[in-house]
Amino acid sequence: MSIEASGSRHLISNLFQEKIIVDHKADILAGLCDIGRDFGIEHFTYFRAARTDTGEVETVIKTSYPESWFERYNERAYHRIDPVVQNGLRNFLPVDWSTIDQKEKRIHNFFGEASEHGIKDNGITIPIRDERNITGLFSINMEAREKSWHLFKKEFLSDITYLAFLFHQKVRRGQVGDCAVSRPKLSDRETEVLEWAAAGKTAWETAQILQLSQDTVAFYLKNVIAKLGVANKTQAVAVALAHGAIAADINTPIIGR
Amino acid sequence: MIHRISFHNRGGNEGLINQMHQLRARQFSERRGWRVEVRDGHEIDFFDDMDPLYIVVSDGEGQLLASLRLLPTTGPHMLSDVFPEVMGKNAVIRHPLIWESSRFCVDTRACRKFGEDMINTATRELLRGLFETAEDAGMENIVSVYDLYVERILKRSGCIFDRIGKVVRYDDLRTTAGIFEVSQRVIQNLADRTTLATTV
Repeated sequence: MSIEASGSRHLISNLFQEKIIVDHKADILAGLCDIGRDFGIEHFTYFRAARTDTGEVETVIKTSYPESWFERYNERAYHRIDPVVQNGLRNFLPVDWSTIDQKEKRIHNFFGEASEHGIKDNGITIPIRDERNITGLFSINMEAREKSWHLFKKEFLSDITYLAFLFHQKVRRGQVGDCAVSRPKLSDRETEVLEWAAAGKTAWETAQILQLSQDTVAFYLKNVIAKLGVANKTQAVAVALAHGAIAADINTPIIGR
Repeated sequence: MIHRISFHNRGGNEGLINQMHQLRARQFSERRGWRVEVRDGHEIDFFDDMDPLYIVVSDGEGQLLASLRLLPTTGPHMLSDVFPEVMGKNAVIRHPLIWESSRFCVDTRACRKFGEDMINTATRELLRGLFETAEDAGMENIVSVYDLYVERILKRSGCIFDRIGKVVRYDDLRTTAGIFEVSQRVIQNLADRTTLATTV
């Protein structure tokens, strides 16, 4: 059994998180695009539609697509035929655009027009679903040859899925009246494991102290990292300390109980 | 034959989905005595309305052999909303790279074939479908609540997992939760087990 606790494999998520932590005022989309460029990613798009208590549909769209395409898309209400939107909101498997059936003429034309506006051929859309059952979509768009696209997907699919979730949390946190999200509640075990991490203990040492298996410790850390919306253990400690979720120092442990 | 059925391709797979709800009623309500709601011989719950993804094994001619249900742990799912006791003082799991599997069932009347390791061939195919789908989607782990009887089968079949919850009694069944590794090595285990069993 192996559980990845640090986000070491999630390179783009890590960079995104670091950038946002350093600069709270940073525009998250612009920041993300800067990072994406180094990985060959041209565009990012985030879309979310949620029904409010009053029954209205509130949409949030953040995209780096050229304005001309964005306007055209809205004007023609393309979300009604866009297969990515049609597929994604009630599904949770990532969608590789190259697997979309373009035999239908209006779908074929839709992709043709997107391409004329500078949208690249390759893309992945990650469906997002949160605990309030709000659904969203997060897409990356880039140019790649068939073989390198395959490699890119293999290497970065998990990373982009994690990134989608981080981005969604950031957008939610940025909204007024959504305080519940900004202070995630940690369980006793999670707090304990994180406090030992803050005290500089490795997963192995923490496992010895708490009489747990090392994998179990790694698992709690991994869960904490996701809950706090960060990308690795160090960031989790920093955020938890800042929120007062964990105490700064721990008394000398009694090892070998 | 493995099928992945979600909201979008449900239309063409109503037959399998119906058989799945009937199998679930027989297995969970009649045989194992779970307190699940059965209507007209179909077991359907709240989470079936949450746009899950079903992994289904059929004989290729419309007969259902086995099925399970997947939900992302970032959204509503059973471990956080139905079985929080299993996790005790541990955490509710919400992670974009962890899915939850539930309603695991195999129709042992419809499929009587067993491998040399005494694992039903439909069980093995279902598990392979689960881990291949998860691996393709970039998932790192699966969590699941199961009873101790199922745990023994999972262990023998070649799944790699750890318990993350304590053992709790629900409807007289000893139930616990586990976290499963999603990897090529697990998929290999599930594919190779029969050969291994014959060669050892």
